[in-house]
This record gives sequence, structure tokens and C-alpha cells, in this order.
Amino acid sequence: MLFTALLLALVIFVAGLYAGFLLDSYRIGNADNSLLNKQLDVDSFVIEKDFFETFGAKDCSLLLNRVQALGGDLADIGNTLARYDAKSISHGDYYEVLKRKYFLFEIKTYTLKRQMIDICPDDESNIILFFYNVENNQYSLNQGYVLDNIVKKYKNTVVLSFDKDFNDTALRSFVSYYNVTTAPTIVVNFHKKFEGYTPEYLITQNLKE
Amino acid sequence: MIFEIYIWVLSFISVFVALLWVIVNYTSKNYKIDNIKLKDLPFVTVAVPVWNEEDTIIPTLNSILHQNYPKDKIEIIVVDDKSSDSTFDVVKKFIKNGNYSNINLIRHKLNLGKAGALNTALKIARGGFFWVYDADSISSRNLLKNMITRFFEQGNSDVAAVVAITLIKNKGNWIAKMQRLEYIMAAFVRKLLGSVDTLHITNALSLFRTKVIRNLGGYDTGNLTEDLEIALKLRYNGYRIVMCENGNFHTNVPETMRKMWMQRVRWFRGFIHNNIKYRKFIFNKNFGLLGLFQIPIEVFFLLIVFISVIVFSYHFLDILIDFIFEIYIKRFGIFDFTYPGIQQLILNTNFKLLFPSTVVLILGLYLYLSAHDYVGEKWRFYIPSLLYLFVYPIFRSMQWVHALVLELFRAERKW
Repeated sequence: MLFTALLLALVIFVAGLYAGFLLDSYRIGNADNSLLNKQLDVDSFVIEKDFFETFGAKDCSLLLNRVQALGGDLADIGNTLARYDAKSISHGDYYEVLKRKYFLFEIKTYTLKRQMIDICPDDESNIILFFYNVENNQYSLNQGYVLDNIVKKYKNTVVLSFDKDFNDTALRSFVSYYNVTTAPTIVVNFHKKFEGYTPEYLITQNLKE
Repeated sequence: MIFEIYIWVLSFISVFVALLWVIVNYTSKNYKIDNIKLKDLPFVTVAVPVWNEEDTIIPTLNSILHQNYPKDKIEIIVVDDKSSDSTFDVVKKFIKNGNYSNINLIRHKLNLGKAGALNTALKIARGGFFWVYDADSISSRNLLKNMITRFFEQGNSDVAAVVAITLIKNKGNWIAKMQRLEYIMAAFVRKLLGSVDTLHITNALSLFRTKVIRNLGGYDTGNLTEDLEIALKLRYNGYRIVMCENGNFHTNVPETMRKMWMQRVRWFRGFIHNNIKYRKFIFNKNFGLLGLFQIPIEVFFLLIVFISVIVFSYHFLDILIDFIFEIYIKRFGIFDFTYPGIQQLILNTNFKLLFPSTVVLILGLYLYLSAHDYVGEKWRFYIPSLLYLFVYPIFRSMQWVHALVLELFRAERKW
């Protein structure tokens, strides 16, 4: 009886693991697909920007809106990735690859946004970099809640989040460029840097309405 | 990550134990067959320890007197353990009015506890069988005869105790209703333990071979759960305990949270104390499945409870602190969320928790329904069921911790 129960329990667990593994693969596919679409969006935007620059027919409003939309979509993908990662049974390495891809897109979007400012200086939107860490992260979590509030109130604001300790060469250069040593750290509109937990009013003082 | 692994291990153990019970239930034979007719029923001593039972003792005595058993084959010994109310006078008057020559009333000058009262009755018992009968219990009419019968079944010469199905008498409030479910499940678990010969507990209405418990020195006075102690003592000395599945008895349960809490803490302290006292059972092959599996797993579960309380408290506190911060920062914005579609709902499912929980829930429900079927009670899902299934385990864990702390600090053992 003991052996039968043990065997059945093992069978149930293996079945559960397999089902979880399948669901995980589906999640990976879903997230990968979102990132692939994002890559196409970024490529499309770069082509469009090059076209306007080459032929001198720039439409700042359109371009700025598009780059802003890219940032907003990325935030959604980031949240989804974090949720999936927390529930994953396997595929830990795949999630690391996806996260890496995601951070690189964010850097790319940030760079594009910076380039756009040079082309269209009358930009009225805001971009915030948010560097968090995963360990002992209550301050980072609280900073995230503050930024959620800001995004809700200031519709023209995009937040790009980065795990400051993530192991990627480009991200490390990025972190080093802004000299990020603590988490949370935020950078508002390319220049204004805040270290440690920053209350909402301090951030909003530096935002464009 | 450690929390996740812990959840997995816990889930696996839960699935394993639930499956084991399901298999035992499926393969165990039903003893509800009244096919043995004893020509000459043996003489039985009914021991009724009482302490401040003026409200319940008369129905209890009537229940014993109305047993379908020859009147000249029963003696009742009521031991008043220095009650501070009028229990003694109430019983005295009852004996006088009914002219019951077979009821013997004894009064302790000092309060010796239930075990002491039972030892007093045991010393003077004339019956070959000793029926311990709690003063707030009412039994079905054929119970004694059916319990006696089990001693005389083939292969039961080493049976020293027979226990009956316990159900609850008072079903007034939700605390009592919740315990109703607990008693139903407990009766069912005892049946399962009996089917694999690992039953090691007696209860408020247990029948013993007088000579056996006398030779083993009777009850351990000062023990918080003398019924568990005597059961372990019997098993330790090579005797078996079996269930009587024909008939049952009803007993009162606490109706306030405080009283219930104190009762459970006493039981759990008794469990800890007696398992330490009889620690030689653990992994001892001489005791068969009882020593190799049943008692070790009970002790293991106790450890799991303590670890779980620490792990879950830490995890819960972590979530709570984060939630408080979130509310403080986001205010009403916390309620702004979009409903996920079906695809997102499936993808967002935490399979690590959902799968084992679902399996345990299904097996648990099967056992829950089987338990109701076994004791002949109607099952229904109402608020106390939900409280029993999902809230009570939390309280139970805390009662275990309370009991452990009291035992660790050697707090006074009192009723």
C-alpha cells in the first residue's frame, strides 16, 4: 500500500511537472512572440526615421508618438515577463535570455528617444529610467508603486525598468554611464538622477506637464 | 526559491498521505457485520469519572442503564473527583430515587484528575471488562454489546481495547459545527488506522480488558491525555486496539473559542509528552507498521507544522508589508487593474501551487465524503465546512505551537 501510494504520488507529480513544463513552454512562446513583434516595431520605426531623415519629410508628432508607444508596450512586456518568471517550473535559462532581450530593447528605445529629441526638440513627453535590484528589494518595489502612480497621472510618461545587476555587457555599460551604484535609482528625462527611494513629488517636479 | 521548494515537498507529502488513505479506505474491509451472538455476555464495569457534571450526569447514567445489556452483568462506578458543584448530591439522589443497587458512588477527598478517578474505579472493578464512560456522553443502545463482541471475534485474543465512533451532541454554534466535521473525520481516520492495525488511541468511550490494564499499572495520573497514554501503553506491550463500527456515542464539545483552544492545546501537549515517553516506537520494526510508519509520520507531521508556521508566517508577513506599502503609496489606485482574458488567465496560473493543491483537494473531498458516509451523517457544504477545511488548519497549527512552547518551558500540566 505504501509503495502503491508512493508510486501514484510520483506519477501525479510527474504529470503535474509535465503539464507545468508545457504551460511554461507556452508562456515562453508567448513572451518571445511579444518581443519578436517589438523587434519588428523597433525596426519599422528605425526605417521610418531613416526615411524621414533621408528625404527630409519629418513628422515630429508622429515619430514622437511612436517612440512613446514603443516604451509603453515594453513596460507591459516587462510586467508579463516578471509574472511568468515567478511562476516558471523550468526554462530558467530561457527567461534569462528573454530578459536580456527585453533590457536591450529598452536601451534601444531609450537611445531612439534621445535621438528623437535632437530631431524634434519640442518633445513634450517624459522618459524615466528605473534601476532596481531583485535582492532585498522592498525599496525598489515601493519605488515601482510610485512610478505606477506617475504613469497613471502623466499619460505622456514612459518608464523603462532595469535590473541593475543583470549580467549583460550593454546593460553594464548603461549602468556605468549613469554611475548607478544603489537601487532604486531613477533618471528623469536623461539628466536628473535620484538615488534611493524618491517620493512622487520630487519626481513630478522634473516632469513636463 | 527555498519557499518554492518547501511548497513542493509539502505538496508531495500531502498527495502521498492523501493517496495512502484513499487506498486504505478502498481496500479495507467493513466490520459493520453483527454476526456473532454471544451466549453468555461477560460482566462489565462502567467507570464514570465526574467533575462538576451536575447538568450532564443524569442523561449519561440513563444512557448506560438503557443499554441493551443484561442488568445483572453491569456495575457502574461513579467517581466524583472532588466536584465543587452539586454533582455528588445529584448522583446520590438519582441512585436513591431509582433504587439502583448496581451504581457505586465514590467521592475523592482530593482532586486527582481523570486518570486518578479511573484508577480508583479500576481498583474495585469486578467486571472482566472495564468501560470508560465520559460523564457527558450518550451512547446508542447496542453499543456495549457490539463493543464486547469485537473482543470475541476470531483472531482478536490480543485485543485489549475497543473504541467507538465519537460524534458530537451539541451542534449549537459554528464552533461546535466545525468540530462536528473534525469528529467525523477523526472517526474515519481511526477506522483507517484500524484497518492497517496501527490504531493507537482510545477515546471518551473505550472498553478495556480489566486484567490487562490493571497488570500494566492502570492510568498515568498527571498525564494530560490519559486516553492516549493508555493506548500507547497497550500497543507498547503487544496488545491491539480495534474500532467498533456498529453504533456510536455522542459527546459534548466546547462551544467557545477559548475553551476549544485550551482543550486542543491540552491534547497536543499530551501528544508531544506521550510520544516522547514512548519514543521507542519510532522506527522500531517490532511494532510493525505502527513503529515503522504511523508514529514516525505523525512526529514528522508535527515537525512540518512547526516549520510551516515559521515559513508561512515569514512569507505572509513579507506579502503583508508589501501590500501595506502598496496601499500607502497607490491609495485607491491599487484597485485599478484590467481583467485578464482567458489566455492570460491560463498563462498566469501558478502551476506549482495549483496542481498539487487541486489533487489534494480532490482526494480530501473524497475522504471527507467517505467519512460522512462511514458515520452515517449527511454531508453538506456550508460555512463551517469551509472554515474547517481552510481556516481551522491555521488555528490548529498555532495550537500546536502553543502546546510545544508550553511543553518546552515545562508549564504546569493541568486540566
